[in-house]
Amino acid sequence: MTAAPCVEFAEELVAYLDGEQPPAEHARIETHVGTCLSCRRELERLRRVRTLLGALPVIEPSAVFQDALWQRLDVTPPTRGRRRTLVWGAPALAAAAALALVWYSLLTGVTTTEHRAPGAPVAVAHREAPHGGAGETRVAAQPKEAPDKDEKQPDVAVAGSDLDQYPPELVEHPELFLRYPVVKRLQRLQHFEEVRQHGDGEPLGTTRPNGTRGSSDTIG
Amino acid sequence: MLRFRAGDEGAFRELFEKHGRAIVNFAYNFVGNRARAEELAQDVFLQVHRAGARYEPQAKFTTWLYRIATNACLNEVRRPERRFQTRPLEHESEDERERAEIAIADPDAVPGDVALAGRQLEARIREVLATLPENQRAALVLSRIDGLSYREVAETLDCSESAVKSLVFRATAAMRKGLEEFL
Repeated sequence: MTAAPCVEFAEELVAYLDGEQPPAEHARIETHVGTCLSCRRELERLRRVRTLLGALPVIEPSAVFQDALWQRLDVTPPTRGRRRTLVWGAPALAAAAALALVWYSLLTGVTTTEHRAPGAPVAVAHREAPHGGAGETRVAAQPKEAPDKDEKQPDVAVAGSDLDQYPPELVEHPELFLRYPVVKRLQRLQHFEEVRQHGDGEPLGTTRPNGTRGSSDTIG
Repeated sequence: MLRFRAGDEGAFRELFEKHGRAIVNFAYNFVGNRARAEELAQDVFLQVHRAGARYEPQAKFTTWLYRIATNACLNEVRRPERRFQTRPLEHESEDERERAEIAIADPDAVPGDVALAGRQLEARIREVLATLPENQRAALVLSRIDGLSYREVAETLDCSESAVKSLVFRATAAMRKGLEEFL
């Protein structure tokens, strides 16, 4: 049976081994251990325990450890902006797209159904130039055969629209729409670009094939 | 970490590659199960990733990282199904048994009985470690195995240095008692 270490020093021995004591305290214990056999033996046992713990083998993570983390990062909603957009942005964008379509149909519906006669060209990208003669169209403006009377006409073309037919706040302050986060995400939509540039005096739905608005081409 | 906070995803990968193994080992020494240790380490880095945007360098990064890891391990060992659970050596997989022999630097270079003794010793160390109260185990693993200073352990465990000193002493004393036959 081994003698117990001195009560006064028992708790200090581990900190002494760990080098966690101030120099004066360290020296005091060192002096004591030099003269006290029980404390010296206890110190030696504690030193062995420390050595054993420090010798525990270091394991290597498995081959799938790293890949598993990246996989989990892909499925866990992160807080960083870029990933949040990816994960949560899709429903918002879908809602925004739906809203934009409704808005677009409302605008175009007002301007087209009242002015376009059956058989008129369906303008998709640009309109006929005033000097180009009747019926001249480019690229996407395709003359259409006169349909049957029962056939419903597509409400796509915009011709002869008036600015008064649009909401005044849209005409006067198109930048207001930029404040809506939903609309902000739809800046690529063609109609929004047209709304934003509406100060040119042209109605919605008129854009050149290269994306610029034309002031000279009109649909006849 | 500051680079990661600024949006550099590559910095996160560097952090993971630099500290991933240490956190796996910390968790393994804490919970005693290799597979679970890897999952916990992944949890830790997921938390780091989530917290990246609001990280404030108030302490050393490693201290902060070990705080997350310690909390994850404490939550793990406090789960009801883990209470009073001990894991005998025979439940170790063959792979884990082989790894346990790493305690002997080169198993081929020593006699089989020495390798066996090394394996038994490691199993005994882990067994005694698992019986320590959670805070003692955390303080001992952090200071003795992961090499944190008492001050860093205190920051990690959110307690005073004198409390850490007491925890480490009691844990070491318990280990000494449990490993009496090997001393």
